[in-house]
Amino acid sequence: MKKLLTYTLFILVCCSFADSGFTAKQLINSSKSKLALKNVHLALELVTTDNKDISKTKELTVDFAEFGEQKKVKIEITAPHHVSGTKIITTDYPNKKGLIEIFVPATGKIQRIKANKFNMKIIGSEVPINQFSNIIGGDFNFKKEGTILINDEECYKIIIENSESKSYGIAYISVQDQYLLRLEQYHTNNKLLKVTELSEYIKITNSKDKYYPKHISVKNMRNGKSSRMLIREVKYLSQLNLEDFELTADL
Amino acid sequence: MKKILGRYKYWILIIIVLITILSSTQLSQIRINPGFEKYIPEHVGNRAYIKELNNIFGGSEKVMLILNSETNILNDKSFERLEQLTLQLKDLPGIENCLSILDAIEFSYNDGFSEINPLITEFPESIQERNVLKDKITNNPMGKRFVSKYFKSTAIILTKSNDVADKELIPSIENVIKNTPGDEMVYVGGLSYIRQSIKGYIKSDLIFLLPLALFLMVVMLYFSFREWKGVILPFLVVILSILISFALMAIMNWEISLISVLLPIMLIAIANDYGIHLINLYQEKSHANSSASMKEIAIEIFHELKKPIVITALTTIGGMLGLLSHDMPPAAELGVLSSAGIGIALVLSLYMIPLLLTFLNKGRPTHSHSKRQNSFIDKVLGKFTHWVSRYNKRVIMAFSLVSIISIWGLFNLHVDTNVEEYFIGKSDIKKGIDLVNNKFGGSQYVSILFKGDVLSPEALKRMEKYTEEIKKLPMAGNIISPSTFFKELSKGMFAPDEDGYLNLPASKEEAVQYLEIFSMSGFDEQIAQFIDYNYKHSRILVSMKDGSNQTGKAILKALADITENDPQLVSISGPGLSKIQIADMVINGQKSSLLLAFVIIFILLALIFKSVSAGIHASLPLVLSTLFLFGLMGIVNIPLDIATTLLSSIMIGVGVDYTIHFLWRYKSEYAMSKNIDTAISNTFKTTGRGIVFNAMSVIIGFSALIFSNFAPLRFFGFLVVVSIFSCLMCALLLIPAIIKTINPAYLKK
Repeated sequence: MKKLLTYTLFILVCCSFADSGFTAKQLINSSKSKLALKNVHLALELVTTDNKDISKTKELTVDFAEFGEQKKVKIEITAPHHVSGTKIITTDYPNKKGLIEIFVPATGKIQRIKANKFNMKIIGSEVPINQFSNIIGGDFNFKKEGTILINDEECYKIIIENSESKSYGIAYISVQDQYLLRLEQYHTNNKLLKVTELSEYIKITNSKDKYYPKHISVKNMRNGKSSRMLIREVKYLSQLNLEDFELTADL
Repeated sequence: MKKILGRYKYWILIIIVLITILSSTQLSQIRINPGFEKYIPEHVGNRAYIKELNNIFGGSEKVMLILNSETNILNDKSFERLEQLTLQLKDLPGIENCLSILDAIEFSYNDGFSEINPLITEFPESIQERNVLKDKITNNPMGKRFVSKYFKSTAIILTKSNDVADKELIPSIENVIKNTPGDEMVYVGGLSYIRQSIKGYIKSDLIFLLPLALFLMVVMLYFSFREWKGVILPFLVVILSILISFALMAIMNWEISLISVLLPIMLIAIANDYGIHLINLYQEKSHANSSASMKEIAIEIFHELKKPIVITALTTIGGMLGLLSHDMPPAAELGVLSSAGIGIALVLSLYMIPLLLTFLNKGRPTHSHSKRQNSFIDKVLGKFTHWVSRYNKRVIMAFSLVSIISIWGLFNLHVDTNVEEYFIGKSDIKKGIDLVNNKFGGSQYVSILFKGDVLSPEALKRMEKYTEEIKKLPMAGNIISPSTFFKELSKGMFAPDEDGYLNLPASKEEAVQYLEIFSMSGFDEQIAQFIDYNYKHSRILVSMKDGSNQTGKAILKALADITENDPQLVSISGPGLSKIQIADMVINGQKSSLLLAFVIIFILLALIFKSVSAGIHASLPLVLSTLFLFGLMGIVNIPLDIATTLLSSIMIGVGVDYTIHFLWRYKSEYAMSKNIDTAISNTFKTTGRGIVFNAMSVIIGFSALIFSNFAPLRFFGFLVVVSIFSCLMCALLLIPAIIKTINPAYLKK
C-alpha cells in the first residue's frame, strides 16, 4: 500500500513535468491535478477489517496542510468513545526525520515519536498517513497499456515502474473524467499485494476544480486486512494557521 | 474341488489375473495422512476450543526454524541470513505471521520522545556494540525467546494458517532454507513439520520395510520347505492379498496412516499361514505316497485342511474385527482391511494353491523332510512332549507365576501419544525437536483464553498474577502475555520516574489508546498474537518444554488451578493437548477392542468345539499372552500408543490359531489312540511342526518392523514378536499341560 501510494504521490508530484502529448505521464498528472492534497479538511468514517472479518469503526477528522517546507497532517479521532479525543499530528521535513505527536486523552500526555518506516499508518488502518501528503519522490517510469473496464467504467491502464525496485504498480484512470479509480501494487513475482480503490469523486466547494473521492478502500492481500474510508465531509481550507497544527497537553 | 481343478481351472486363473489388474489400477488413488487430530471429536474438548481460538486469533500451530551455529549466532553473516530467511518466509502463502529477533521491539523514553523501535535495526560491527546488543536481548522479555542462552542459536517462529496443508507449506519452507545457504545448520520443529516428516517416513517405511518383510518371508519359506513351490505359492497369496486390500483402501477412500502402514506387514506375516499349512501337508502326503498324482494330493490337502484353515482364518478375522470398536477410525479401518486381506488370503490359499499345484511337477522328497525327525524344531518339540507329559502341573504353575509377575508389570503401564517421540536416534528432525524443546522452551503452545472486558485494569492485573505463577511452573517454556506486553510498552510511554513506568494501564481507555498507538506504529502482528482485533478476547500463551502426555496433562492441570474461578476464562487449549484426547481414545479403544476380540474368539471357539469349556480353555493362552504383553510393556517402560494399542487384537487374532490347530489335531489323534500321551506326542510330531513354521513366519514378518523409522512401529514389531512367541508357548506347553491334567470332555467326543 505504502509503495503504491508512493507511486501515486510521486505521480502527483511529477505533474509539473508533464509531457505535452497525451502520454501515460500526462494522464497521471491530469488525474493528480484533480485531487485535493493540501489545505483540505475531511470528516470521515473509517472501517477496518482484519483477516478474520472482525471490523472496527472509527470516526475521525483529517486536516492536511503545507507550511513552507513542512508538511503537516492532523488527525482527531471523534468516535468510538474509548479512543475519542486522541489527536495525532505528523510533521514531515524535507531533510530530517519526521515527527509524530500523539495526545493520549486517557493520560493527558503528549507522546512524541520519531517517524520511521513502521509508523506512518493512519491509526488502526491500512492507510498510510502520507496518503495525504506529497513529499515522496523517486524514479518512476510510466507505460500506457490500452484501456480496461473497471467497475463498468473504461479506464486507461498505466504501468508504474520504479527503476530502483523491481516491484511495480498499475494505475487505472477513467477515460471520461481522468479520475484515478484504482491502484494495484505487485510484488516482483507478479503477486498482487495491495489494491486501493477510489470512487464517487465529489467536487470541493471553493476550490479550483479540486475533487476528492467519497470512498477509498485499501485491501492488503498479504495480511488480509482491509480499510474502507467513507468521506462524510470535505472542506477547502483557505485560512490555515501553524498553531492549528500544534498539540498542547491541556487540549 | 474336483470341478475347480478340472473344468473351471482356467476360468479361475483368468478371474484372479483380472482382479489383480483391476486392483493395480486403484493403487495410485491412495493418499497418506500422518495426522490424528482430525479423528478427535470436533465439537467437544480441545479440538472445539482450538477451533474457537483459530476463529479469534487465526492459526494456533507454530513452526519453528532454529539457526544453530557452532560458535555464536551474533555475527554479520548469520544476521544477514536471518534477515533473508524472514523476508522470504513472510511472503510464503500459508504463513500468518513470521517473527524473529528482528521483530522484537524495544520501548524507550528518551528526551521526551517515546521510541517504539525494532530491537535490532542494524547489525553492530564492534565487539563492544555486540555485547551491548546481547544485554539488550537478554533483558528484553519479547526478544529473549528468540535466542538460546549462550547465543548459539536463534529461532524464527512461524504461525501456520489453518487453511494451508502441511504438504504445501513445509516443502516451501524447506525451499526457502535451501535457497538461503549459510554456515548455520537450520533445524525445523513444530507439529506440522513433524506430521509432514512422518508422511515422508511412512513412504520410506513402505518402500523399505515391505521388500524387507517379503525377503524375510521368502528366506523363511525356503528354509522351511527347501523347494521353490513352498516359496512361490504362499508368496503369491501374500502379494495378491496385499494388492487387493490396498485397492479396497483406495475404493473406500481411506488414507494410509501411521496405523494402516502396518497392513502390508501384517498380511505378509499372517496371509501366508494357510499356505504354509497346505504346503506342509502337501510335503507330508507327497513323502508318504510317492505314487499319488499332484491333483490327488491337491484334493486331499484341500479336504483335510479346509476346516481348520477356515476356522483359524475366522478366529484371526474375529480378533482383527475387535479393532472395529476402536474410537480412532484408522484403527477400525485397519480392522476391516486386515480382515478383508485375511479373507482373500484364505480363499486364495484354499483354492489357488491346490489349483496351481496341479500345474507343477511333484518334487523329490526334500532334505528337510526326510531328516525331519532330527531337525532342531523336532528336537525341541520332543522336549515339549516330555515336559507336558511328565511335568504338566509344573508347567501350569510356571505359567501362573509369569502371569502374576505380568499383573505387577501392568501397574507400570503408561500411555504416551506424543508425536515427538516417534523419531529415533540422531536424525535432523529429532535434533530439531530437542533443540526447540531444550533451548527455546518448546513449539507446542497452550492458550488460556479470556473473553469480555479483557483490557480492564482488573483483568490485566489477574493476567499479570497468572503470568507470574506460570513462570514458576517447571514444564512451562515461553510465556506470551498481554500483561508483560503492557508493562514493556509503559517503558516507551513514561519516563522511569513517572508513575506509569513498568505498570499496567490504569484504565481500559488507556490500554486501548496505547494499543492504537502501537498498531499505528506498524507492529500489529505482535499484538494480534494475544489480543484480538476488537479487544473482546485475550490470551496468555504458554509453551510446553516437551510434548509428552505427562507434561501436557501436568500443564493443563496447573493452568486450570492457577486460573480457577476466573470470571472471564473461556478455555485452556492448544494443538499440543490433542494428544491427551488421543490418549483417552487409545485407552478406551484398547479396552473395547480387547473385550470385543475376546468375545468373538470365545464364541467362535465354543461353537467350533461345541463346548463352553473349550471356549474358556482355548482363550486361556490369549488371556495369559495379553497379560504378559502389557506386563512386559509396563516393566520395560514401553508406552501404549497409537500403534501398540493395536497389538492385543492382532495377537488374539493370530495367536489363537496355534491353539486351534493343536486342539483340532489332538482331538483326531485322541479319537484314534484313546491315549492322552500318544495323542499329544503325535500332535507335536505332525501339526506341531506346522504351528512352529506358522509362528516363525509371523515373527519373521513382523520383525521387519524393527527397522522402521518410527519408535512406535519398532516397539510394535518387538512386542508382536514377543506376544506371538508367548502365544506359541501357551499353545505348545500350557494347552497340552491342561489337557494332560484335566482331560477335557469336549476333546473326547
